[in-house]
Amino acid sequence: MWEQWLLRDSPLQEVERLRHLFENWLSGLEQVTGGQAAEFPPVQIWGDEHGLILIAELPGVLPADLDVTVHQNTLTIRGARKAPEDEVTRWLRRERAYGDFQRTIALPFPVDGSKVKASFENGVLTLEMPRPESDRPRRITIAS
Amino acid sequence: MTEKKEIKVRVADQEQPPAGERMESRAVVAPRTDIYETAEGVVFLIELPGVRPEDADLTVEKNVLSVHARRPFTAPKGLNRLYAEWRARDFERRFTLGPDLDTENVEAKLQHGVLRLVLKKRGPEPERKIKIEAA
Repeated sequence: MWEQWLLRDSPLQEVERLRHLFENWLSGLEQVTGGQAAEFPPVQIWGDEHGLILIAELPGVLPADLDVTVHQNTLTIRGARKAPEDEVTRWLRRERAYGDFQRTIALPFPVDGSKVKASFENGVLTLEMPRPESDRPRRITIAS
Repeated sequence: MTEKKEIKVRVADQEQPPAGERMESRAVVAPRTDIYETAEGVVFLIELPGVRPEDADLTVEKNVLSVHARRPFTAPKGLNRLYAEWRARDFERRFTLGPDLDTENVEAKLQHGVLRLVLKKRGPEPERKIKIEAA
């Protein structure tokens, strides 16, 4: 009974494994952005060793003006946010940016492009990117 | 010769929501806003990513326009957040309007995470005759 408990993964080991997998990638990502959200669109990345979910905020971007491409371990979000069509006689406050944008993010592992699910609602882009089955870590049973 | 009317739109200081009203400890930020004048009036473009019409509150009291929105967000189940350049937060901002704008008929449309408001300029007030009562 006591041995069984030892062989089972403790929650700490799980966190350690994940941290190890993402550590280099995360520090690389942070280096590029300098820790600040200077890039557009700002993103959140969730995941584990089976896949990733990316959530990006692009308020005011129309679905027709957004392009997302995934290739192995590279993700590119490209598009444009059009300036207002009204005839502006005077700007009173200007805090938003308009124009073309492109952002390329290196992922910690290649993802299965054919299985990516994307949704774009209320200016929020959600990408579900699973890892190819063959790449996923597999537990090997040892025959006794 | 008509005098050019100046439309004053000031942004009042951010006020903290009263304590006890917030259920969770969530940040409240002022949403990024563009404001511009057109021939007909003033247009506001307020960024509220992830917000649906039912999550937003728009009120006008006297000459203050207030926007309050709660951004719904559910964390992806069973996953760890590895990296974040934005956080789930609520939005709040107040704008003080000049007297030249019609606050009775505000056009408001929320689409693609942007709230677009149009306030038309008030036409010149018609002359009102005041009756003088005999003593």
